Amino acid sequence: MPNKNLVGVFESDEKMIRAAQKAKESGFPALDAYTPFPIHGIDEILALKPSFLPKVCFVGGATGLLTAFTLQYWVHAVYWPMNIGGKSFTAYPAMVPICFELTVLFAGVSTFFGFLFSRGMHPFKTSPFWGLQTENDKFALVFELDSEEKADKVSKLLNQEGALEIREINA
Amino acid sequence: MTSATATSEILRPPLVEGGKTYGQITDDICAPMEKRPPLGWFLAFAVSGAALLWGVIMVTDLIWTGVGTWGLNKTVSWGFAITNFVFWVGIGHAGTLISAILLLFRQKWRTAINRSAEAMTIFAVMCAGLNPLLHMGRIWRGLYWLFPYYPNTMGPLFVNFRSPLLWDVFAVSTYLTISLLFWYMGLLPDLATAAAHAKGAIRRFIFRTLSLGWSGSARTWMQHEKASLLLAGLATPLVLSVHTVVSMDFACALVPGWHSTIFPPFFVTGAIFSGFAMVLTLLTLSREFLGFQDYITLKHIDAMCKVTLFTSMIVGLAYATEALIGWYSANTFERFFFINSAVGPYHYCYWTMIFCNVVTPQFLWFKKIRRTPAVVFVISIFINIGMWLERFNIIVIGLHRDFLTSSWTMYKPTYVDWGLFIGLFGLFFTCFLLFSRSLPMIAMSEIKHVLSSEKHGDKQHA
Repeated sequence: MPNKNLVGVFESDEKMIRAAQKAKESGFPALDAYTPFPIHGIDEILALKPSFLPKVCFVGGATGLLTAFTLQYWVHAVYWPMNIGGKSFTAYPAMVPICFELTVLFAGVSTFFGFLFSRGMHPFKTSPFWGLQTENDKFALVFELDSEEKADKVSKLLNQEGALEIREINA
Repeated sequence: MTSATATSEILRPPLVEGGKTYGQITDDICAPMEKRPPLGWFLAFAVSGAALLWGVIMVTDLIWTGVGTWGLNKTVSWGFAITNFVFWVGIGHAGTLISAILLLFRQKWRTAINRSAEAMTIFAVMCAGLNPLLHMGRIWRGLYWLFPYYPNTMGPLFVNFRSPLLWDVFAVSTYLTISLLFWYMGLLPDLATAAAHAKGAIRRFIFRTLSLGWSGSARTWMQHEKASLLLAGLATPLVLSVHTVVSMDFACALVPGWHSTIFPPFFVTGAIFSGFAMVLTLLTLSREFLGFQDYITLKHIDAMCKVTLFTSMIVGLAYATEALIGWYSANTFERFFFINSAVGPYHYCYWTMIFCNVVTPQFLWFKKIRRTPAVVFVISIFINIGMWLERFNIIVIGLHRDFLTSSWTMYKPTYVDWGLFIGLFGLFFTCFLLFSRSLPMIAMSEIKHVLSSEKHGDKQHA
């Protein structure tokens, strides 16, 4: 069962931010905003949870470091130790560059895919709010419609704040 | 706020010129993708395509016959291929510097040039990576020789994790992967914009698919900004590590002129220097031919020239240090390396390098020159030549007269060497020309962001 949404489209980011602020003050906070570029400060108005990507990045990096170390240690000290001029099988300084590279590689790849996963993005996905030109120059504020009363009040507020267009979209 | 706005207007001229609206930015930047390319583009494409084709023929000859077709010999065992490798990896560094390090430093002027600089990085690293692969001779066995695999069928010949050459494999492949991901990450919102702007259904479908269903919601932007910041934080030490590892290919050897502790910082600065020169070459041309003068402004060219001038001086200092250490080390071979560079049979390469890398950039002290794209273009070409010669000098002059006088010899590149050299430029420019007509060459969302914060004079957006 798709959710009913009320969408107000604005021509500028200032107008949209003001509308979001007003809506929050009147007790009907917006669900989300769709914009052509990141709007700083909107995360507080929409009360977004902070990103978990730094954790993903850290775990990825730690895995990379461990992989690189284990791989090199295992090859040179366990699987096929080679005596080169009596030098130590476990020459740690020589392991540093590859440990570093694999840390960065694993951390970067996990951050990228963590991002795609966090937003459920894949090549065949289509956003339900496609077609509002929010990728180009419009700014849309989305409200969840759970009651008739809210619908009236929110559309009134959007009108007052100068929305170009108000639409119902099921998502 | 008003006084702050007034001050910032006096201190900082706008980064986007021509009083654009958000819609106009989309129109302008999507224009080269949607219009028929001009004649100049087809001409450039024909030239670079021909160079690429010639390179493919020469490389086929090389793989068919073997590395004996190159001018290498027992004394000079590294020649054009490794010179090209170091040169192209270096070119890539400016892209990452602009996109990652300047992002961390909150330099807003990077927004107009980061996309093309990142693309340049990817194409340059592709060019670079081909060289060592071809140098192996039997390229089809490359995978066995480069990466550890299990069960190992080559007996004790497991890859040697203690060799800088293997560190290079990991450094360059990590660099290529991270650069690609970072670039694609930044492209996602712009691919959605390109899809929304596209007229045809097929074009729209392709861009929608590539944008992976980008929605531009506040939640997506929040995660996107965080992920970009993390990738920038990872790419910054990575880019420094890559040319450090490349320099260790030389510094870990015992050859005089190679075995030097200044190599890592010397190589990294040289990389940034040559990379900025290449960015200047590409951008002075593309702003002219793609009509991006309002986005890639004279201020951008000016700022990049300053970085070029600064790195040129560090590179000059490194040359002077090498000369000084040649004398101060009191080591016969070290001293001979410098004398042989300056007055030996390759002295013309050495002095051309000094002229291109140390003398020509001095013109960039003048603001008038920094703001004349045609002159900047010429200077950037000089630097490209100089930086290629720098690597040639290190490799060939370092090797051709070694410890044993009886093995002294000269290195003469053959037509196959030159074929690879030309082919790599062909590959690079062909990729760049295709990129300039098929993907948004300037990060639209970032330009709109900068425009919005300039309008509001808002410190928070900085």
